[in-house]
This record gives sequence, C-alpha cells and structure tokens, in this order.
Amino acid sequence: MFLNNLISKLITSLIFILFIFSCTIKNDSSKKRTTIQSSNITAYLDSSKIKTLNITAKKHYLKKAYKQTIGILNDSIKKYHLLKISSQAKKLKDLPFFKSTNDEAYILSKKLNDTLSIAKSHWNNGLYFSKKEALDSSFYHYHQAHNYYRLVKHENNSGKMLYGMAIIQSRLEDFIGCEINIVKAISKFRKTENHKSLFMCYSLLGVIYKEIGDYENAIKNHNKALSHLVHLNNKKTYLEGVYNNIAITYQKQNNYKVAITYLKKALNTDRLYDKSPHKYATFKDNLAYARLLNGDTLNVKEDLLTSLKIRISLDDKAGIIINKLHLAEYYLKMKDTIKSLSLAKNANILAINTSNNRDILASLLLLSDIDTHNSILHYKKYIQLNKKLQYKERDLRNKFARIRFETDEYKEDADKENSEKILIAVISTTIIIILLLLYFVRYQRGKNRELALESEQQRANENIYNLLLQQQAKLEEGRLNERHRISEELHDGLLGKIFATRMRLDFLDIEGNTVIQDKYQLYLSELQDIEKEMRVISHELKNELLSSKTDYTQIVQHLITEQTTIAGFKYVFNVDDTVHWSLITDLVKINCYRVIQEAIQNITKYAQATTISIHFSVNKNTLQLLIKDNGVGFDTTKSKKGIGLKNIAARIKKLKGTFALTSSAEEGTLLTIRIPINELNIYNSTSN
Amino acid sequence: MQEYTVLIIDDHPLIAEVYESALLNVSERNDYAFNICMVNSCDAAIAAIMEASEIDLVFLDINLPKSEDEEFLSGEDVGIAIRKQLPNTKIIVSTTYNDNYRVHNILKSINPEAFLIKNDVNRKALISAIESVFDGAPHYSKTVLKLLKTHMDNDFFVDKIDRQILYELSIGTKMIALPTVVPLSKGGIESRKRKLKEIFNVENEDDKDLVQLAKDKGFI
Repeated sequence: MFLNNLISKLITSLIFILFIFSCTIKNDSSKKRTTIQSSNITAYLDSSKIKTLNITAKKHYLKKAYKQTIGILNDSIKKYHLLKISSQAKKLKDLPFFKSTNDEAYILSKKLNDTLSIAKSHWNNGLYFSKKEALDSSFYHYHQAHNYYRLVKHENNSGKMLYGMAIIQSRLEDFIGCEINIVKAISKFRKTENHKSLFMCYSLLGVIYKEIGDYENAIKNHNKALSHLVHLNNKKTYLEGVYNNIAITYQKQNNYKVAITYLKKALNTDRLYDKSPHKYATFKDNLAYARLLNGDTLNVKEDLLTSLKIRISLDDKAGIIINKLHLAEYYLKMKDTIKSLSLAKNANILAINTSNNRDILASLLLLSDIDTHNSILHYKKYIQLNKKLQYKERDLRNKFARIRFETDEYKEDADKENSEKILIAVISTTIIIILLLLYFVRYQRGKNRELALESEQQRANENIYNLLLQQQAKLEEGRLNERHRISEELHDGLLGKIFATRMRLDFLDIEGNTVIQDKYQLYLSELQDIEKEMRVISHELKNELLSSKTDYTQIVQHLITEQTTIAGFKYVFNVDDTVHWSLITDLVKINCYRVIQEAIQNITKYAQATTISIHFSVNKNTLQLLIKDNGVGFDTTKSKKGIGLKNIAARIKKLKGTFALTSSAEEGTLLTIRIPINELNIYNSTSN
Repeated sequence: MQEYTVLIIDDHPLIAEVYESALLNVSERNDYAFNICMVNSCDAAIAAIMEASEIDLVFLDINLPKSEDEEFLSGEDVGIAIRKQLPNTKIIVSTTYNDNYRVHNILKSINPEAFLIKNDVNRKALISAIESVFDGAPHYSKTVLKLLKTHMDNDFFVDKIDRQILYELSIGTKMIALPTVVPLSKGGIESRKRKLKEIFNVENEDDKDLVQLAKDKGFI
C-alpha cells in the first residue's frame, strides 16, 4: 500500500519535472531571441540619441528600433521599448510617430493592466494634444494620467499631471481651477521635495495671480519660486525667467521703475544670449517696452528692433507679433501713425495666421487706437472675438468640470471598490479566524475525547482486573467452601465416629492371652493415630492463609499457564519473597499483568522459544519484572518497534517506570521492567 | 451407695454410649449409682437443664447442632448456660477441637472441671477423668495441659480481641471484612496488628508470618 503510493507519487513528480523542463527549453529559445532583439533596439535607440547626428539620421535609427520592436512577442518588453521610442520621437519632434507609438504602447499597457505604463501613455497623450493645441483632450489625458498615478501612489508624477492641467487651465484663463490644481500639486511635490517642480508651480501661481490682478500675491509666489531655485543645481535660465515675470507684474502695476530694474537684472545674466537667444530677445523687448511705458524713449526703438531681428531669426512667431505690437505702440507714441498702423496690421495678420487669439485681441485693441477712422470696426471685431473666445473658454471650462466630475465619480467608484475590498478582506479574515477557531475547538474536543477514552480505557482495565479478582475470589471461595465442607465432614462426622468406635472397642473387655491383648491395644492406639492424622488433615483443609497462595500471584500464574499451554512452551514463574502484593497498587498490578500478556504474545509470535521465565522482585521500592525467553532474538536497533513493544513502553511510561530490552540470537530476549511502587499506599490497599 | 444425676450432651449416639459405658465402669468400681440422661442437641440440652432441679455431672460436646432460635450456637454456649443455671454442676468438656484459640476460649468461658480432647482420650483416661472430677480434682487432656504450659512460658499480653484478630487472619478473613467481625474500626485493627507484630517481633509486612508465629506460640 505504502509502496504503491510512493511509486505513483514518484511518477507524477517525474512527469511534472519533464513538463517543466520542456517548457523551459521552449521558453529559453524564445527568451534568447527576445534578448537579442532587445539589445538591438537599445543600440538603435542609443544611436538615435547621438547628438552629432542630424535629425534625419536620428529619425532613421528610431524607425529601425521601432521595426525591431514590432517583432517582439513578449508584450511587456514590447511595451517597454515602445514607450522609450515614443519618448525619443517626442524629443525629435516627430509628433505623428510619437502619437502612434504611444497609442500602441497604451493598448499593450491596457492589455497587461500595467497602471504605471497606462499613466505614462496618458501623460504622453496629454503632451501630444497640448502641442496640437487640443487643450480639452490634453486636459483629459493629464487627468487620466493623474488618476492612474494617484492609484499607484506615485506622488511626484501625479503632481506633474496636476501641473500640466493647471498650465492648460491658465491658458484658458480658468484661474480658479488652475489655482486649485497647483495647490494640490504643491502639496504633492512638498512630500517628494521636488524643488524644480515646486519652483515651476510657484512661478505659475505668480503668473495667474498677476492675471487675476492680485499683484501682491503674484510677487510673493514668485519669491517663493526663487526660494526653491536655491536647491537646484542646474538653474538654467529659470532665475532670469522669474525676474522677467516679476518685472511684468510690476509693469502691470504701472511700477515701471522696479520692472525696469528686474529686467535689467535678467538681462545682465552672464552669456544670456548664448544660452537662450529667445529669452534674451524677450527680455530686451520687455525692457524696451517698459522703458517706453515709463516715458523713456532713448534707444527704445533700437532695442525693439534688435529684439525683433533676433526673433525673426529664431522664427519665434508669437515673439515677433508682440515685438511688432510694441514697435507699433512706440511709433504711435512718436506720432508716426502710418508706421504704427502698418506694424499693427502686420501683427494682426500674423496673429490671425498663427491663430494666436491673445495677440489678435491685442493687435485689434491697438488698431482701434491707431486707426481712428476704423476704430469702431476694429473694436467691434475685438469684442466679437473676445466674446467668441470667452464662450469657447467657458465651454472648455465646462468640459474640464465634466472631466473632473467624471473623475470624481470614478473616484467614488474606486472608493466604493476600496471599501468593498476592505469589506471582503474583513469578512474573509473573520471567516478564516472562525474556521481556525472551529478547527481549534475540534482539535481540543478531539484531544479531550482522546483523554476521556484513555481514562475510560484505564477504568476498563481496572474493571477487568477487578473482574479477574472477583472471578478468582469466587473460584477461591468455591474451593474454600469445598475444603471447609470436607474438613467439617472429616472433623465432625468421621472423626467422631472413629472416636466412638475406638472407645467402644476399648470398653469391650477382651478376654485372651497377652499377645491378643497387646495386639488389641496396638490397634486401638493405631486408631487413635488415624484420628490424629484425620484431624491434622481437617485443620489443614480449613487453614486458609497458610495453605493458599496470594491472589495476584495466582492470577498471573493462571495467565502464564493458559498462554504457554496454547503456545506450547514451558515456563518458569517465581515471585520473590520480597514482593508483597498488598503493598502494590492495583494499577501497577494490572499493567504488569498486561505487559506479561503482551510479552508472551510477542514471544509466541516471533521468538520461536521453548522456555520462558518470568520473575518478580522488589528492591528499594522498585518492582522489577524480568521476562526472558530462549528464542531467536531480534535486532533491537534496527527493528522498528512493533505494536506490542510500543504498548509495553506506553504502559511503563504511564507508571513512571523504565524499560530495557536486550536481545541476541544465542541468549534470546530479556525484557527488564522497573516500576517505582508507592510506599504511601501500604495501608490503603487491602491485604490479599 | 451414692446417687448422681448425669447429663450427656453429644450428637453422636455412639459417643454417648461410650460415656455411658465409662460411667458404668466407674459405678462398678466406686459403688456409685448414676441416673443418666442423654440429649443430642442444644435445644434438648437446654430443655433438660431447665427441667432438672439438680445435675451433678455434664458431659458436654462442643460441636453441636445450633439451637433453632440460634441463641445457642455450640456446646460452648450451652456450657455457659449450665454454669449460670446450675453453678454446682461439674462439667466435663469433651471435644474434637484442639486448636489453641477454641481451647483457650472454652477454658475462659466455661472453665470445665475436666477438659478432654477426644483424640487424646482412651478408656483409661476417660475413667480417670470421671473419677478425678468426682474426687474434686480437675482433669485436663495433655493437649490442654501443653497449651496452658506454653501460655505460662510466654508472658505476652494478648487479650481477647487480639486473639480474635489473629484467628480471623488465620482463617483468611480479609482486612476489609475484619471490622464487621471484630468490634473495632479499621484503624484500630491496623494499630493492634502493628502492636501484635511488635510483640511477636515480626518485621515482615505480610500477615502470614504473624499468623504462623501466633500459631506456634499457641494463641490460635
């Protein structure tokens, strides 16, 4: 049975191992291929990042990397590479490619349920749509990305998404929404101590406060931004940016002098033109404009023109428009209406072409100032466009609100899901605990039952012993009664009769010679002797204690006789004079009885013995029981303990006794048992 | 010629006849005349005692069928009744019992003028016993004499209850059952047993040796 089990187990495990092995072989080959592909892709990607290469070569390498990626079977690796390629495409300003690879990555991420990658894809989409000026879509994707990042508790990126949303909102003049998002983002960046992002957030806050007209707060936030700038190693041109922002804020407040000092500070930056000609032009333009507003026209025209020249060279369309508008204002101030008008018109057209609404509005407003004849027309256009823009913005703001609302719902769902999860967890834990408790209770009950059974067994054992004793006592009683009867019969009946007969003979006066007389007397005394003998016999029959042996010895004797007769071997049984059964508890006696029974059974079954000897003795309050046979013996170290030996060991252990076994083929087996006997029980036990 | 009333109490008619023969023998030798009455049970004996105004000699067997009302269990009880009813009557106890315990008890309770152990008795001993009783001298069989002598040799103080305990032990009465036959508690019996062991100088915890020794010393 056991062997069968083992074999079947072995076979199943072998099959299992083989299966796994074959799987790993298959996996190995595909894995190898994947690894090679991966390294190829990485190489191509690296090539596309080499700075010295021109943009076409970079794009070429990127496309090669993409082709390799398509061939990968493993979705998660494929997705990983797609995201990398997408990022690189964004850097290379290949927007369609950026979008397509990102979409593929998104589909795979969804399939893999990889939250981080899904979030990253949304982020990319947000970037893409913001570039495409599809601000609502961009906002939606930032929002999604934000949710996913929050789900996995990626504070930094979720903050970045909030910032992205805030930027869009600021562009659409949803300043309240923008502020809310930025404040949220700030709290996240504070946790992650992302000083760069904090700097950007405070800068944005400064800008929107300026737009709202809360200049004090604007300056305060710009200063906060500055405080975070201290922590940055790579400050780039951030500092100048902030100065510029502060300057514009002061300019709005008509505090031109301070604005001018800040702009000068910004322009004074070391090698600013080399680092960022774009910024240089902006600052120069702004400074010149501020000075113009301050009523200082010296070199303003030249500065504005220098700035314009730089911007034209950079093809900075928005900058060019603003610059032209500033120039137009300059000429207006110089009363050169024609130049001013042409510049303003030019700016207006450029703005319309680039659909830069803010600049269209600014140019229209300026035009209405310059072109006095068509002033109303321009102003009407301005109002029309402004209205249209406001509607559009409102519309978009509503859209944002909807997106947020949906997200709130989603959040609620997530919360609900969360609470459900918690509920499930609580319920399952409770169930597990209950099950454990039930198991424990069952186990305990089982144990109790076992204990109860054990004690019952012991009681049963004692009962059996008592029954044995009773049986023995009855036998003994019957025997005694019989002996008494015979004794009485002899004593009272026969003895009296013989006595009477003898006496009557004695009283017969026998006549005869001396020989006969002598013989007569001899017979009489003979009869008297017979009487004596009879009386002795009668007494002995009656005399209980001296003629009969003690009960326990008899019981054991009976057991041994019975068992050995069945098995057909001889026995030697003796009880040392040192043993007084009355001093030994019934528990010890019954267990000794059982041990002997068990031992004889073992000997009968295995030993092939012809003689056994059993010996009881007492030494220093220890009862010693020796059971010896002359059989074949067995290896006590190798042979696993049989039930019989186990039972014996268990019994002896219960009595706090010891148990030793020696065995050899030459000398048979000797079982030595020592049990401590309790002195205190002397007067409690009955003498038997 | 002197006339005596004699009551023979024995359940064996043959033995009663023996006593009759012996009395006849005595009357021939001593010029006595005997008025003999024979009974064979406790009840008959008691009835005879009650009826008679005077009885000079009683042959008393100890082993008798007990009376119907179970008041008289043996000849010993009858003897006690005779002593009470007819204090001048001379009693010859003749019994097959020869164990020390019984003999001692009979000596104590009846104190008979002659104590014959049937086995020790022959024609000569019986006749001399009867004659010595009429002469006013006690007559004991040799077994009884031996017992008395052992007692005088041993100065143990063993009272009636001790004897009873020893006796009960000797016939195999269990310790549990002892308090029902001996008027003592279990603890009392145990302490008496310990004391007896001290007296008899028995170290062994078992009762076997004690009983054996008590028997050897003639207490039971």
